[in-house]
Amino acid sequence: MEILSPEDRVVLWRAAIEADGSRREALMHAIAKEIVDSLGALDLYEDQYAQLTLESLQTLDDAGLFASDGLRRCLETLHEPGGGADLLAAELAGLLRAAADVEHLGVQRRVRAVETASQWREHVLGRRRPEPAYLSAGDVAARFGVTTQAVYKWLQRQRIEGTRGPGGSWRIPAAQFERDTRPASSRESLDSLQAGLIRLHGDSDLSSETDLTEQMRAED
Amino acid sequence: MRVAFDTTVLWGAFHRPAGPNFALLALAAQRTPVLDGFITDVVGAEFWWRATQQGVRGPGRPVPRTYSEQELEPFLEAFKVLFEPASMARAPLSRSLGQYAGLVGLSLGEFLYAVTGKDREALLSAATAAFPVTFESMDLADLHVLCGAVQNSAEIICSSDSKLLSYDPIGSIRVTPPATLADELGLIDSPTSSAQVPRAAR
Repeated sequence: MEILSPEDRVVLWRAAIEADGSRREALMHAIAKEIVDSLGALDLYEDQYAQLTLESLQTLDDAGLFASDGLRRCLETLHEPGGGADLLAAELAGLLRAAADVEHLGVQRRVRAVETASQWREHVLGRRRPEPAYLSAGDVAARFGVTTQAVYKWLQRQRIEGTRGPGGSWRIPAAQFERDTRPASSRESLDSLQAGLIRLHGDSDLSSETDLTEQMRAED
Repeated sequence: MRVAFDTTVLWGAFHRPAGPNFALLALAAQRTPVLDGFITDVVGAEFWWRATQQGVRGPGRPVPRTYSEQELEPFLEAFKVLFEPASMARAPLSRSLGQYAGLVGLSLGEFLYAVTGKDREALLSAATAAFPVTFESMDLADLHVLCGAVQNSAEIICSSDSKLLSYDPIGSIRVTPPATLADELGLIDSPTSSAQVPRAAR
């Protein structure tokens, strides 16, 4: 398996952003292949992952999120030891949740974006951990349904604890996420709720939160 | 970060389930260490009333769309952990409004009858009977949100309503729109390089 350098992957990503039509599609396929190759031993599931990856990239592209800086960074570090592939999978999950808010995708694709995000989340959380007491930034992102960029922000602002290993990847103590023992909602139930609400509201135009508030108060 | 969510946040989350309001509630409901959020009983009652009785208008929808109990149930079930009924101290105003929340939407005459127990016919025939009671007529300045926040040790009130609460701090409590809070927590995609993160964050 030939692996591109981090620089070449970014060049590929930029070329895809700037291309149109069939060339753009071909470059998307090339990026998807690069991602699938990085995911490790997929055995029988390789075809499904190839389809899932391509679908995810196309959804992000149509939602205007393919050019996200977070995706670029994850493509750069894709083959790095310490969970580069998991970081990208978690980032895809986080970005797909954002894509579910993009109205022009339509109800079916927005619901599918949530479902696909769940699949990437399960992929990350289902991997065997060499050190269960520590999580990577991808693990934390997948666990809570946010992007890896959000987790970096939490680390940057010291909202969560973490240290960097010699290779530069994050080691985040898992115990800090178990301290709050109050009842909690599962990410699965929240994903299910999101998909259900998107279906409930259907194709009705999405008002901004500000518009909803103004309308709410205007009715009083 | 202890955050009191007001009704506007629930309203936005319900209508935009992939938007920043939903993301904030989801983060709090999963008990992440970065966001300790809660909802008071009055905020919950106000949300219920608006969803079942007031409804929402939209382009091409002149008649407000209201929601049934069955439609609301999954939303309230997913976020019920934020109500914390067992541990939450209720503010005095919250307590009194909570008691009367079921009366919202009645005409003023019926409301007064329920509250005072005085002569129903006399009250219903009064000139004020035409004006329905709303949450704002019971609590003009949205004080129930502030009381709930103070009583439950909130550091932040999260609200989309800049008119009633304004975004000036109230004592030590910061008032913040959901989009700002979501951005602070990285829930809105913005450039933050992992290279900028200190090598040891603790």
